[in-house]
Amino acid sequence: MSCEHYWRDGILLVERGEPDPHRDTCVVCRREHKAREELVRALPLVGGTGGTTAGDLSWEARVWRRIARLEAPRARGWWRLGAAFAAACAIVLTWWMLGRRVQPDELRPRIEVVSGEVAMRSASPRVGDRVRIAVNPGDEVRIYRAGQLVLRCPARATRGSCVSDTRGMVAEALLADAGDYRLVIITSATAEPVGNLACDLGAIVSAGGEYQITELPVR
Amino acid sequence: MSMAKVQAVSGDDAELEAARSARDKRRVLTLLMARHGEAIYRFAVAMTHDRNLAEEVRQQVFVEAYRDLGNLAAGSSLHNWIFGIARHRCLDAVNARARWNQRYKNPPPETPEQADCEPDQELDRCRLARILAACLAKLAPAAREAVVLRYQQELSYDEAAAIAGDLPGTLRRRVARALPVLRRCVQATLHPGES
Repeated sequence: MSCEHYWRDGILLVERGEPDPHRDTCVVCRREHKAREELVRALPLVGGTGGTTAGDLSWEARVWRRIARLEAPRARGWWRLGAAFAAACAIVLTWWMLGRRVQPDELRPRIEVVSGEVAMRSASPRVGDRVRIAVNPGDEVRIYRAGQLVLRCPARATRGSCVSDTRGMVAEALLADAGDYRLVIITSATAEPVGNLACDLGAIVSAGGEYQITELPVR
Repeated sequence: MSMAKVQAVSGDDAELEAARSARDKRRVLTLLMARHGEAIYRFAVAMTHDRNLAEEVRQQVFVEAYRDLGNLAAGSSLHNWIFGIARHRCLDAVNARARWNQRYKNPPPETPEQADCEPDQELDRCRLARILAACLAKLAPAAREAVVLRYQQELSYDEAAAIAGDLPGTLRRRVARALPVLRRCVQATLHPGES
């Protein structure tokens, strides 16, 4: 004798807590219901421990150790973060300090020989090159060839080959002929030049001025 | 849940809630471990069918609980929360083991997980529990979870549904479908000759 009702429909009624009128009249369903009750009563024993402490006896200590390990890297992490921050600060500071240093373009006085489009600091300039002299504000520039004045840029002049701005003045001249050029930068007030190198230098010295002279042979 | 168990839980609740209000994470975890440690382990054994894996899951559950305790909304159920973590870790562990076995062609364990019986337990029930442990392992994870939450953990369908993230009716249907399967499995083990 068998009845499929219980395991097909009756059990859902049991799970819902609803009455099952059929079971009251069916011996088989009552027997199956009893079997289900046995099954359900045994389920809490699954994974049971036989009355002893379940699993690893020191599991709680292991949990705390794992938590400590988790928190320790966090502390190391903060240390690393601090070190990274310090390194970043050092880089920024170094960059700032380097930025504060005078750039080559700002060095004055500065003499460059320009060959074509390329600025070239050369000891052997050629005819057709240009010489560019950058000086500090208030300085004067004179260029002599074979002892004769070919270009004069008074302090703060802005005309022709002389260009002044807040950083100083730049004088630029074409090295049109071969010969020995003398580039004179006068750093203090002096007398008007007469056009001859020897006389002009003497006048500067007589007036108590100072100058810096650079030889530039052009081939 | 038995009356004694309910009373014990209520007493613990006050202490637990006090520690929780004081934001004493270590105290809360200590109480959680004392209160739910064994239940979580038994749940994990039933879900994974592997005591070593269950122990690993239990420890992981409480480590995660400690980590995330600060994010838990005030007033939410610690019991449901910790069982929710356990459920996820069990499913992860079962899936990871299945992937591992598949990759390395390991056969599933042949020896079923044995339930240890207390001396005063009825031998038949104890034997039945051992067989049930093996039969549970053959159920689909969702069905196993429903049965374990409802009848091993002895939770109401509403509590089980809150942990499983399903509707109570869904869990009822899963249990109603799983119990006949368990019954047939038990019968086949007890009486191998009978179809």
